Amino acid sequence: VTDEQILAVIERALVEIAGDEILITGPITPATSFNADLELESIEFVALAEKLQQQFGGSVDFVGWISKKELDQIIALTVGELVEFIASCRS
Amino acid sequence: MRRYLGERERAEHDAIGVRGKRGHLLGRIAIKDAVRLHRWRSVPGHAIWPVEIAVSHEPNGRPTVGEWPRVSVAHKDDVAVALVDDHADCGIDIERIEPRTAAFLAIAFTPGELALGAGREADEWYARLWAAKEAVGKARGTGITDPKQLEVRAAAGERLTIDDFTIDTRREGDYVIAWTRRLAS
Repeated sequence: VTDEQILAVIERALVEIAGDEILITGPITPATSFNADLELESIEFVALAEKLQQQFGGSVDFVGWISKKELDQIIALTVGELVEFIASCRS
Repeated sequence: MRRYLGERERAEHDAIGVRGKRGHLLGRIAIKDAVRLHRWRSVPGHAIWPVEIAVSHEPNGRPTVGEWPRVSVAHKDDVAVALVDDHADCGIDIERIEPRTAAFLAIAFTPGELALGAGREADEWYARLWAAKEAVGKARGTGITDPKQLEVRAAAGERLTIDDFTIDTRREGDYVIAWTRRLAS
């Protein structure tokens, strides 16, 4: 699985969770921030975690990964960092 | 909007993405009205205009109106709620009551939390649990990272307990509102 394919899965999951309007400011890129750009709510993070597990299997523990981060890291979290994490779980 | 937002606040509002804009404005209105009502109650006859209350944000995202009172805000869809506390950091949340998948429940809640909801309407209970966690995450300024770490350990009617926090909850139509309880003064 390439990083581009992982990014596409994340984008599809985000649209399912938050609707098409999430793409209103443009396509999701590695630089897209979950907080500042997508304004994703905590409960939507859980929905995202659920979809990532469905797609990539239980080894992708998004909640476990995120809970080890400091608050400022979570606020600054980008889609690219998530792609990297998913790729590392699968390698 | 001119009635509610000052110049700096309007500039901040303009800079917000499409997705968050409506909720942001509703939230600002809710905070300002909550503070105005609070002032009116504390000092009867003390009326202030919404624009006189300047709302800004701490780095962790927590809204402030100066040092005191502490405030918290939440919104969902077209509803915003705010909380004011003179004595401690506080937190409020609102969630829509809707069906959740088994996978969602497994990620968000502990077996103990699900057991506490026995005999209650399931979807409403999930909204209460989540809103309570969110309220405590906001009061602490940490938000929710691992939802299971903010575990609801007791529930009496609409009052829930997480660690040393007591959280009151209330259903309003299709939503549940949860807020950390004001400490006795």
